[in-house]
Amino acid sequence: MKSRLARPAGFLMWIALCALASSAIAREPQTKPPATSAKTTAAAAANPTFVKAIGNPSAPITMEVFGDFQCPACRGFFEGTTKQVIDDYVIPGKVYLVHRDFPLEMHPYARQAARLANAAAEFGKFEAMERALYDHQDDWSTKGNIDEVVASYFPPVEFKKIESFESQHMNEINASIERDRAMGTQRNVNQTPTVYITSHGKTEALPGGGVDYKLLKSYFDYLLRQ
Amino acid sequence: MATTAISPETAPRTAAWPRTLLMVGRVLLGLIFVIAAYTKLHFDGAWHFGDYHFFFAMAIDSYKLVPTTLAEWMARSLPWVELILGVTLISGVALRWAGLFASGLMTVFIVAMVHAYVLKLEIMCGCFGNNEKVGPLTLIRDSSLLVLALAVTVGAFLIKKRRDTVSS
Repeated sequence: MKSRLARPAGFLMWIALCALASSAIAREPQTKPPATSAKTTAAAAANPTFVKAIGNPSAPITMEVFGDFQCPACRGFFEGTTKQVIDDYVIPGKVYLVHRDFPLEMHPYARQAARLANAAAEFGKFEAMERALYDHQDDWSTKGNIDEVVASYFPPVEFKKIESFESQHMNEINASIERDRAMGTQRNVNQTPTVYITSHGKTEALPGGGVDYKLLKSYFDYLLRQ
Repeated sequence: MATTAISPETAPRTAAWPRTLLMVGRVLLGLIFVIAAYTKLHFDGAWHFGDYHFFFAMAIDSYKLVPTTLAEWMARSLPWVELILGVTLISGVALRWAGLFASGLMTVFIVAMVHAYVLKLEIMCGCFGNNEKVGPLTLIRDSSLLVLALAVTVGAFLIKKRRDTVSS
């Protein structure tokens, strides 16, 4: 009788151990608070940072998007959610939208696109560049002919200025992209888009991979009611 | 009848082991459900009674299985369902039905995870907060929990059956 019972007992214990062990292994470390470290702040002061943001910096909510211009999920998030956020919350001054570069290694033209966006930001044209890059991602993501595709959405003189700024300040722009990437790595960003919402002095990471507009709207409305 | 053959001296002794085993299983499963509920309501070092459902709804929505409205409704109710289920399992009340419900719930979770895994969706599991990606490890864990839930359910039904047979 004892041996007959020992088998199911051992089985149950194995299941329990297996469940607990896999749970412990599967859990990734908690997302660290996104407060910028002193080291990062010092580095930013020494090097120019190209502010890729839309809206009022003193808006009650800040939405940071770690994105990659060549990533299809980022385009989906931009087209389905970000555009509506801009119309409904950024333009009325309720949300400050910040783009952080997180070009993934698997996307060969993501860094080139990010450089162009950084250069456009210098001339206050980040939003237009972001729209052009995402709206026409399919047209440039296979061949890498970003300049050729995007140029038609800007007045020629303006685009020339952006292009020449990009080539003249290549190192600073690359450094700025790297700072964004380092910030993302510090916050355990491991996929794009990854969104952080800051309000009332608290920053929360949203589930990675993008969020439906309706759910984000509910959350923003809740934060604005607080 | 075969039941009359059980000696009164040996019957309680043989019945004690399965009952102990069942108790260990149900308490363990119950605790896991309570922990799952806790991590959905308490994260980033604070209770989130007012806004927990936003984050959890986003996690459910990322599975691309249910409409947004249903995801919101599930997000609001699931942590409390898990809490009640966990407490019920620990207490041992209506164990057969609690076990069945836990098995059903675990099956739904596994189906959702397999769906995400097959579609290569890089999403957060949402099982114990929003800090783990759906992958082989989360699948192994939830499958183990399903086996545990089934073992508790079968055990509860068998013990009830044995009790009924002995009493009759």
